[in-house]
Amino acid sequence: MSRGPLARALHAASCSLALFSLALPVIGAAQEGGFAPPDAEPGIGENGPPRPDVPGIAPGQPRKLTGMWEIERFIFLIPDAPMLPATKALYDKQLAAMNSGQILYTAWTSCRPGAPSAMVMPMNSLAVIEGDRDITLSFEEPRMTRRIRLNAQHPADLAPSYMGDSVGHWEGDTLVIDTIGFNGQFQLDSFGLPTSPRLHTVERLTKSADGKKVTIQTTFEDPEYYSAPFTIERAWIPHADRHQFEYDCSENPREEEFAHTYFVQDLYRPTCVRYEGKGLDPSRVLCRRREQGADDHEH
Amino acid sequence: MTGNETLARGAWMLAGSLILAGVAPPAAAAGDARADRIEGTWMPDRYPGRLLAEDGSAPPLTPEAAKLYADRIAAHDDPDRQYDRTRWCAGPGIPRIMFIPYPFEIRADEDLIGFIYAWYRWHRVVDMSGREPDPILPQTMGYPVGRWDGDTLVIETIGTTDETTLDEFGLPHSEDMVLTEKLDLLPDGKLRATYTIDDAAFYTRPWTVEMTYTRVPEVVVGDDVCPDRIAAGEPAVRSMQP
Repeated sequence: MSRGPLARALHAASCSLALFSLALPVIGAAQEGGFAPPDAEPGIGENGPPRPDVPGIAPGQPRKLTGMWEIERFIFLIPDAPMLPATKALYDKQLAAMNSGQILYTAWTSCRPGAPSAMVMPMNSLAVIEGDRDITLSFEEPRMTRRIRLNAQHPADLAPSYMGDSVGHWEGDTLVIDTIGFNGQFQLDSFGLPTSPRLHTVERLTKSADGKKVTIQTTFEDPEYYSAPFTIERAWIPHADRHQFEYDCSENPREEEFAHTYFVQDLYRPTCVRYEGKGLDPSRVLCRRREQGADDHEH
Repeated sequence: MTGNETLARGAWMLAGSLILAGVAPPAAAAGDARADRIEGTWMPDRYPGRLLAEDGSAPPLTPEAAKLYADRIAAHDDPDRQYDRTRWCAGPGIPRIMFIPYPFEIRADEDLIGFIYAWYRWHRVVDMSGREPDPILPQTMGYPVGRWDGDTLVIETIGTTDETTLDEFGLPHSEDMVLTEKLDLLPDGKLRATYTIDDAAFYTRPWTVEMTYTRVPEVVVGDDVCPDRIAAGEPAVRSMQP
């Protein structure tokens, strides 16, 4: 009753890659190999039928984004964020922990959502389902679904959340997504750039004329931690496969990891851990109600 | 609706973080009126902790599978039971994720039909291209492909990992299971779905489960962090009635 060797190897590779990315202080490394080459065909759905006449979408406008995409390059760092002094001190503390050999446990590593994680460091594929009133983005890794309501306003009494509230509109060929209402419980990159509920993001998604690339410029603004807005660029390319793989993050936490782990927030301590069996004792996953840790690094 | 079902639905409606004021009504599909009809947010009308076939009979397990299931039922109250990976927040897989007391959304365009589940941000995307599935590695949601048969959406799924179970008590399936789902809208507005399980490794014949779902437009499927439930001493999947 176990997955085959290939599945296990790929799963292990996926997990170790995520941790590897946290442990190595390498700037801008891209994931090499393991991905299907870009689809030679034009973007899926590029020549779809005209859209109905709804506000903000011109009659006859072709669909822009629907279909399966994959991340052009896995990038897990924002190298030049304009940190305020207190942010820099926090960041340096986390960097020192990593340089001493500790694994940095962020929201991403502890299997939590956070829409900016899908903006900064998505991996593998995503599916885009484009309706008339909203657009759905389902990411493979970290696994999450974002909903972009088109031509809508943010609610006045927005409850803070990991995903925030996203509204979008088309400016010509560019989809502009504005998101607020975050909960400050996640980081922007693998080195743990912090966020607060004051975070505001604006994404500009533009599909190339040949349909083979979507360029995404994302601007982050969070005066709690950063002195000025800053912008990153990522890209999607058509996905050759019709299906997504799954990222089942909750299978990851293993006993042996936690001897050298730095939890960015106490919240990220694992509740369930896999213990490798010895001899005839099988491996097992045990879950326990969280007890407050003594070495809390919460900022 | 039973008292428990009312309670579960009420809990969702009261979950402040999941309800945002002023949200738009369910989106319309871009193009296909059939998909348009099933789009929106749905809640199961019942949560079968132990699955039965649609005629109320027990699943037609082979003798070996029946013994495995009996052993798991006996272990169900063990808080550290290992057959149920949802206990540590890993995915319930298909079809079990359609049977648990959590809402889900359907979103569609011409190319894809997406199911977005409230339980810990799972989703599955059904390929509507008409091509055969190309499963590579077994996974919890398998490799679903869909087609329209009149107004009925037919989804066939292969390539499911045998690490998931069909119900809370560990009803087994193999990696060779062929799951056929048929979804259509009833005259009263409910979504009806049948799940036919064809899996000769564990069952003596194909058998079918029938479910209905009620539209819950007031519910927004939002953040769900399963480990936080465990941290608070709650079960990963809200308890269901046998």
